[in-house]
Amino acid sequence: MQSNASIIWRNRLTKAVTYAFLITLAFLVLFPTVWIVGQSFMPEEIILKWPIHVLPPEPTLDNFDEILNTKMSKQELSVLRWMFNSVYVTSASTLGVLLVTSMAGYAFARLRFPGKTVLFFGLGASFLVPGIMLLIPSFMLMRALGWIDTHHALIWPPLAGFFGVFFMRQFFLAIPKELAEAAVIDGASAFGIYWRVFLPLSRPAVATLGIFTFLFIWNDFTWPLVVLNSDEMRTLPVGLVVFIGEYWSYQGIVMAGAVLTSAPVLLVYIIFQRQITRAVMATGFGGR
Amino acid sequence: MSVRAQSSTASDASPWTLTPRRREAIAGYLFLAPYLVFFLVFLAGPVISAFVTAFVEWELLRGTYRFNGLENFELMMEDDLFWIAMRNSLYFAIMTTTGNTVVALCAALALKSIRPGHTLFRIILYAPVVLSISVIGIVFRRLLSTFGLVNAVLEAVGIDSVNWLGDPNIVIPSMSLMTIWWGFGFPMLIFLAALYAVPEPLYEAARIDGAGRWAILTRITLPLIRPALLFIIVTQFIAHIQVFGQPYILTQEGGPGYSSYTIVLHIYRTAFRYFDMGYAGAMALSLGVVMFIFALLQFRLLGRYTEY
Repeated sequence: MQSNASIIWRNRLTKAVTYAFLITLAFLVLFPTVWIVGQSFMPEEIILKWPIHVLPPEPTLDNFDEILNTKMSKQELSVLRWMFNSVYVTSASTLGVLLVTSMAGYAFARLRFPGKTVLFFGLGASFLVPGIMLLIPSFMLMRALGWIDTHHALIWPPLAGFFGVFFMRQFFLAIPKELAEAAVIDGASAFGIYWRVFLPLSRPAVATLGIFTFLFIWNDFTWPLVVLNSDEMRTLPVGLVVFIGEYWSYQGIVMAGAVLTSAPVLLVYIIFQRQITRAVMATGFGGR
Repeated sequence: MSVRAQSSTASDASPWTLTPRRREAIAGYLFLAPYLVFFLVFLAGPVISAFVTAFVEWELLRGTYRFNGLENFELMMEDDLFWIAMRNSLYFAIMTTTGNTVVALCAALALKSIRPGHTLFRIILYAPVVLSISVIGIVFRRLLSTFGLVNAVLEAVGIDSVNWLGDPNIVIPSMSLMTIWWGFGFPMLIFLAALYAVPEPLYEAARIDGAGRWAILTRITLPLIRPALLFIIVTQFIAHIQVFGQPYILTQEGGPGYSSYTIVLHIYRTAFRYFDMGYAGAMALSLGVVMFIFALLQFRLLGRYTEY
């Protein structure tokens, strides 16, 4: 009896400790986030006031107005231009990655050709090449191609990534053979089978790969910092850091910039969190 | 064209007739071709030139380009900044990898054992992972500044404020703490997946045998998720030793002094401030090769441990 009761108590205690731990972690994650968003809607006088306000007493859009309409330096640029650059580069590159890697993945999953296995493992070895080794040679390549300070430098190199090929191959392998055979009988060409049978059937995989590619390219910092050097070409994350230099003393504006940069990715995350979580758990990608 | 012409004059069992099998092989190569072009240009090419660059004297501004053997590597041995940066990066990588692994493992264990709230907590805890380092860096530079939010909270609770980014002894732990905040969600999901894969009957059997929580954790759970642990430790270490955005944004390129100056920052400045491509290439290659061997070792170890 005595021991039974103590077991029940011990279980309750573990449960309480577990929840307390998770709530603390969640609080540590959420508090700065709420604070940032709050500040972006606060006028500077309130931000500087003591004691600090976490939520804005009277929300204002002044900081966003300022950041979106201020023309930067001499060039008549605003943050809107960086936003456009980010959207353009990210969507163009993501589309390219999806098309090129899914075609290669299809070849590896569904077609027989000499040298397939060797090629697959040869390409796969690129997984092990650390990013830092490629930084300088890639920069020199961009220079040789005349792509420094152009968006080509951001759009095309991600198409060489092997992960998409591997990921799409795994998905294509799981599609039943009979479906392809039916298409062959209907007289579909090899490309027709890929385009009209396999791609539509792998919409979830294409979406997942697209989301991860989008997040990766949108957030990238080092590469755009290295290959772009004029204000009008920059992407949002790099622009933000440059811009902050001039506005560092205006906290509300800085925070509005951070909110603008993160809003698209957070939106994508909230909408697709299930796919993202599942993909990370199944394949271990998105690692840093 | 000429190929066609020749083949028609060749024997009847022409190697150029299109059997279904050959047709399929051609289709395979065609599907692969666009990717292969990108792979060769943007990956294979740079890997090869990484090996060349390390052995040349190549200063962009002066236009010099000549083979100089091992001179770059000799320079590296004598470069105090290289060793300072190497030590800082190593310190940061070890601290961040350890912290991330421990926090992520605890969070995964906690998440697995609760029912209501599981999804909500998981969504919240993973969220920072999807943010850019530029956002994280800017925000934390304010949070951790002398009069920032963190110090305000500390003082409100009666603790002395800390010079998070200005004290040479604290700046790397601060960067590490921020990186854990940013990134622990990723290993957490990997561990969660590994925990779900542990067969439930094993736990029941252990409980029937009267094993306590600690015994279950150390004798069953940890050994069974060892592949995931190893994967996370190695990939995290490789990622964090290449830390760049954090010191670039947070401490204005490695301050105070050189106390948060990292190896990738040193490579970046050598290449893109001083345009000494050869020397920067040699440092990048050295770091890259060490990481590569490290990654290979991981695969060997993983191969050995996953056979249960």
